[in-house]
Amino acid sequence: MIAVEQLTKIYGRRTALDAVSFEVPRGEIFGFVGPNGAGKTTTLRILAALMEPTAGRAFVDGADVTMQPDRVHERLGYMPDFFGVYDQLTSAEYLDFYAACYRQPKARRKKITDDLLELVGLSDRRDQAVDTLSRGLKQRLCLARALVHDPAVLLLDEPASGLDPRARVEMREILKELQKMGKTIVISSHILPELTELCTMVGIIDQGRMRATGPVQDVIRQLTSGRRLRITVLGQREEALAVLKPLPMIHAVTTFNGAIEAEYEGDDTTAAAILQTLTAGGIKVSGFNQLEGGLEDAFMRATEDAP
Amino acid sequence: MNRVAVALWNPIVAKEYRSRMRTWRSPVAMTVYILLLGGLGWAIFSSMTFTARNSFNGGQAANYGQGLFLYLVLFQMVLLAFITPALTAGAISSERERQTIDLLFVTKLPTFSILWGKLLASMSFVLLLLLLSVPIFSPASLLTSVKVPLPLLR
Repeated sequence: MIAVEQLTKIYGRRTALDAVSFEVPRGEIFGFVGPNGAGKTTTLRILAALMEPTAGRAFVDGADVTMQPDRVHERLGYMPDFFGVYDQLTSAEYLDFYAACYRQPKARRKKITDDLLELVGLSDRRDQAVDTLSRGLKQRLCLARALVHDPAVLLLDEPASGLDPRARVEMREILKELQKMGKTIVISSHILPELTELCTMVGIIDQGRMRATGPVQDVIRQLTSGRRLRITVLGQREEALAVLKPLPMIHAVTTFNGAIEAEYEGDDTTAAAILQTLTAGGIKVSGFNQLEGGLEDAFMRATEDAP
Repeated sequence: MNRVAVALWNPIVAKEYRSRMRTWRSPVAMTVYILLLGGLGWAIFSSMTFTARNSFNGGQAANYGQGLFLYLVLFQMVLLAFITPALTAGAISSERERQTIDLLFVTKLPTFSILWGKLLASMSFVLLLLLLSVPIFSPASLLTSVKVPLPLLR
């Protein structure tokens, strides 16, 4: 649905994007993660045909963003990281205006407006002035605006920034609803926990370079080398370290808050073998858990070795 | 909808009309404009009747009417020359300031329609001001054909 090939953007002497490539198949939710200034917004603006890349190509549903911007605009809903609302208009008029800009016939616009207000839960606010809406409600209205022409692809730039936890959960519910409708969604964010649950795919970008991309679990596996154990022992930390370090399947051992963290290569059988070795060595193990390698961890690893 | 209608009437125009007429600025601007123009007309008319009373033949109203009309037209021109750019110049940059211009660019509206819509909306406000000044111009215009000494009208 979305294909980005070797996308490069250079502002003056600064390289904002350096040969970024990724693909998002139909119906997936792609989380675009990276610190501020990593090039997320630049990539999304190029995909929305608002900006020309210095080099490389990008396609939205087969339409080239530089050659066929009109076809791209037809297929794509773009929600920037700012609200962009007009004063003096009500929510309903605001949506109607954009529906008209997308050349939706007048007869259909009322239904589109009503349906979208319903979808984002703003039906009771249809006659309220847009500039008096709260931040969370504005954000929802802007999402509705991106949907007035029923696009197949949604580009959302930081849709959850500045929202309180409740508004964030509501936004997530709406996005899940949209995924059920079969839309392909790209969400950029620097807030990771909200993405782990929602996204089916993820791309980690830092300083204009794509560090990793693919299905969430693949990326986590790819970036966190092996699996991790947290072991707590009763007062015999030094002895435990002495037993663990020479084992061939263990890459690294660190101590963290009084507990031992060991990275190892292998599966559950290997973990059981490590526990056996420890107890056979006379060490009293009081805690032994496998640490879940999360997206957060993967992200920190992907960005820490940046030049 | 045929092509001409699409070119002339677009959502931008409708939206601009709506948001312009909903602010308190528009009625205030209209009132101030009428007060300025009417005040000047009244001042000129008063000074004309004063000079006509002291003139040798009493002064024909028609002659003074032409003068009054001319002054009003000139003043209207100067006022509009200041108002029109004030209305139109900020049209696009305000969209940029409000960060809404990108949102318009990603719609199916061609760039020309955005420009044209903004221009049309601002110009029609100027046209509205012109229409509002008709009640001030019509007595002046009427006066140009009155063949009596001006002081008799007071």
